[in-house]
Amino acid sequence: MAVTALVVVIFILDLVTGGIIRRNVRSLAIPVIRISTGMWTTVFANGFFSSRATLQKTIQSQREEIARLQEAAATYNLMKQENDQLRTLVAIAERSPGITAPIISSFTSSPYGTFMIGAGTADGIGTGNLVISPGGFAIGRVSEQGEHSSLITQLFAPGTSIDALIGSAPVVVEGSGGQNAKTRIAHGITVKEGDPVTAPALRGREIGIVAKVDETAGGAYSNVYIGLPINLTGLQFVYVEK
Amino acid sequence: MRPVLFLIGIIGLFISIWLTLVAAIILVVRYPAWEVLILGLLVDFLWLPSGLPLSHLPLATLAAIMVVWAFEPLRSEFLIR
Repeated sequence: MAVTALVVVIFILDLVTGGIIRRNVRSLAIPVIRISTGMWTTVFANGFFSSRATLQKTIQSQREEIARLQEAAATYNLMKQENDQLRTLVAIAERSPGITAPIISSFTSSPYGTFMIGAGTADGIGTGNLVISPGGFAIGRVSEQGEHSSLITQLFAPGTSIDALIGSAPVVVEGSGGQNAKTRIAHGITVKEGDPVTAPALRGREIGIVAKVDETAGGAYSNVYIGLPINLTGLQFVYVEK
Repeated sequence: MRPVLFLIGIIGLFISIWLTLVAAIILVVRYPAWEVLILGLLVDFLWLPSGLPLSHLPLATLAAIMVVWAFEPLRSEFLIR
């Protein structure tokens, strides 16, 4: 009972003080987030788990050699991936002012469709700045910023909605989380899988593509499922438009 | 076991929310675990943008309070202490 009361009091204090407690919690957690995300990426990118069964069948010297080569290949792949992402972000930077920021948290850590980037007020980031993937898709907006980190809310976070266009048809897209969203569109308007979904409020940027059209929903509307054609968990950098 | 589960829940905050969820469920089923309230609060403080409570409901904290208290009669009834 005492802990419950304490938790409620802490939460109310945070609300009253405009989020001071959570900002401090975040700034304390940033180093841990950086380390844990780095370790997570390293462990799963080097192929240790996926090739373990195979490696156990080989002799010790072969196993060591394979592990060494895998580590080298994983490092190469990570660097190549990082290089490719940075190259595409440079192209975006030439069109609109902003900065490239590293993603410092896992996309699966948050139940609210949020993630953290390693840039904040010191880098000129402000609330509401648009966050763009290396592929040019708008993926979120800056919700809160610390000095060297910011919390981003994905456009498709659960409970969010955004006005969008599929072709020339205006729709309201509702975020479902996990880089998916859905909307409804009247029968008779032709929408097919792969059609881009753009947001006029975000200067016409693409926010996803049509993943599936379900015409069997009944009534005068079809359900349209929208997804991001990129794997967010593989992203290392994003571009923050100022 | 209880501190280990709490630690797993904390690690889950930075890696995957599912890890935290599983640890929290095991904790509340097995123990009168006030730690789950701390986990819920930390989830909200780390990942929920601050703002009006109506637009950003602290679901993790609320869920933690609910499960901690909801499981209490169940634990009292069935758990061999």
